[in-house]
Amino acid sequence: MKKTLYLMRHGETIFNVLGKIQGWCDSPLTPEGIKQAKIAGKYFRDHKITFDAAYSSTSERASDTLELVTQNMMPYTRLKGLREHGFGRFEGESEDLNPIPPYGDFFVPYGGEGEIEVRKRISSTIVEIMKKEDHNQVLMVSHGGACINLMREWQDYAKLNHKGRLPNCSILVYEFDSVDETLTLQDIVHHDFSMLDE
Amino acid sequence: MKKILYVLRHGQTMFNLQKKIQGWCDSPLSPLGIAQAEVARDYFLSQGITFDAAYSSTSERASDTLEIATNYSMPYIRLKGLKEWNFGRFEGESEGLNPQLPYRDFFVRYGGEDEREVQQRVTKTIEEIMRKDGHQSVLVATHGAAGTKFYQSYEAYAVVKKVGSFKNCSIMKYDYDSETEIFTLVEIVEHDFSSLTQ
Repeated sequence: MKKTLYLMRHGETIFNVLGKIQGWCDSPLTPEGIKQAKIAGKYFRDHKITFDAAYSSTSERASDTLELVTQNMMPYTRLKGLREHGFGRFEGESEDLNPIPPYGDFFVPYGGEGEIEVRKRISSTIVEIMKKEDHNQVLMVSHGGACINLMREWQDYAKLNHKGRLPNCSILVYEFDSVDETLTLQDIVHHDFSMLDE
Repeated sequence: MKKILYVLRHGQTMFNLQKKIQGWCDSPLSPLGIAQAEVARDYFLSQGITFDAAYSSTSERASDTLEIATNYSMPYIRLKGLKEWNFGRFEGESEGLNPQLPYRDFFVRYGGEDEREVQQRVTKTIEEIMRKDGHQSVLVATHGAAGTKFYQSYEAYAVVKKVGSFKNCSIMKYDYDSETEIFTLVEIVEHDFSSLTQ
């Protein structure tokens, strides 16, 4: 059976604007980030996409984004498995201190996660959710690095390639095959936020 | 009618350890912070204290503390009204940059909250919680400054006076009279964490 996963990145946050490293640490959505989430919500409504279940990372920026997208009209589950890459003692520091990607095990000596570890965590969390009954159309709100890592894990199956960072509130559309338990990237929806600049 | 309110501060976090300003931003509980929350859990268990309802700030450090303190045994509601003081662009910066107490409106020019605003927000939120039916014994997980501002709102009625800061996982026990809507601080539980290691 084929199921559909809509996996989103959260909206812009204060730490995004301040250029601070944000993995397991968190900061509030900016007014811009709130508008981005509402635009993503409008995309789903305009396309008559509804969800059987919704999940977010336990980080408030992801939970808040989900509530804005669904207009707080449905219950959802917060999961640590959907969190961003943990950056250890680099959390909250300047993004200028980041190494050049791929990060590999750079953050491990600082108490953070290794890249493969993140990849396996995010992928197994998502596959476990998608295996559940009555989960034919599922919304998940996660993070930029986490989404990129999921794409890497399943890149051999993907119908398209993505290069660079994932913009705030972009939506990855995956097909989940419940027999093979595979995830196939079908589409990436980027929104036009240009009207927000006015 | 008399009701009981337990106000709990979250456990130690990574940003507490790194001396980073943490209001509306967030970081994970440290291993010590998790152990502190377990001590609070054991306190409630040993005293036979149960709750009809539980509330936490939307910050993950508070939600995680509540989940541990209730032994993952009950549903709870996350409320933005229980969040810590918003320190605006000072979020995540060194605590060395904090001005001298009292902060008053210092953070307003940086996009943060005014002292009175924080106090009114937290106090109003807790008052509304305690007015609800069936809330005879309630747990609220919040933050150091937020808890202190609530304390100050009803300090005149306090049987026990608070000295110093509202420490990690300390518990303020209040009697609430639903006729007069007055909160009386009757006990402050400060745990002995000396056996815990960082």
